[in-house]
Amino acid sequence: MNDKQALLLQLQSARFALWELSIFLDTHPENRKAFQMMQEYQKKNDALTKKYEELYGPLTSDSGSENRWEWITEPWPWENEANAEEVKLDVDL
Amino acid sequence: MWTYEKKLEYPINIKTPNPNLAKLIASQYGGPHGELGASLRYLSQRYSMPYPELKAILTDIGTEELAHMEMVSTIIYQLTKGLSAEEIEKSSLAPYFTDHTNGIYPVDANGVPFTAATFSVAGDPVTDIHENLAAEQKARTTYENLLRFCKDDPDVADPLKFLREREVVHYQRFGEGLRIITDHLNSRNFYAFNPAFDAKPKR
Repeated sequence: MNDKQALLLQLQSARFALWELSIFLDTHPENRKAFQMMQEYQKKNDALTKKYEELYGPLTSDSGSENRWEWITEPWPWENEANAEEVKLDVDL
Repeated sequence: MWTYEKKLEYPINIKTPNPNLAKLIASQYGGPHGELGASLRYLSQRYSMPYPELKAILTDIGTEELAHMEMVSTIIYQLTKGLSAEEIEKSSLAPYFTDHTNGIYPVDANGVPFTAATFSVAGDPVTDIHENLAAEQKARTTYENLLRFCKDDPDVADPLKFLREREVVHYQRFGEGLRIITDHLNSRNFYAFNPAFDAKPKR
């Protein structure tokens, strides 16, 4: 796994946790603990997204990243190169 | 509107092509229990849904299903990449290849194209959420059947297990949604009227 795939895997993990908490809050809008956890993962997701986009280009078309060319040229999600070879996290999320 | 995130919800990196397996997994893209139907079902049902939590959950799960459609398409793409015409001819994918080459087109495991006839939008909150609870269970069954066929390739089984697990979580969220709906209704007769169409009876 290269550095880019490893960073993307970390980002995917934080993004997934954020998403799971978001849809939990759809049916539990008054759950304060889930809301606080969502805010924590929002911060993690934002920091990892910023780091990734500075190094490898935009992840969304409105990211404001200066590396607009990389939106076009960097591998797309369905291509093997864009993905970690195995899902193994050595970071504590 | 929607914003595209240039990453999969869960990584997929398949090293060994397998056209026979691709033909079967295609059903979770364009088949009766597939992700395309799931997404269209929820994103179409939300307009007639009167309750705010339900509008939110239909929009969000309908959006996540688009990400699952992308994952299933990616599995098919990677399982069929780099195959020779001879390898395809010997496989069950040959009829599909005839019309689509290596393109990704929504069909079920028998090659029947996607149809909206596989899902329902009844415009009745209780009915629509029951439809969705059933849909999540049907998709779980199909993922479990697909997992029987790819025990020897963790590159394929791993993302399928992730997708199977999402069906279980979505079922849970829709179950909570059904409870939120019935909390708005008369517990002596949940079916007294359709809250998406009939005026609320006067007490």
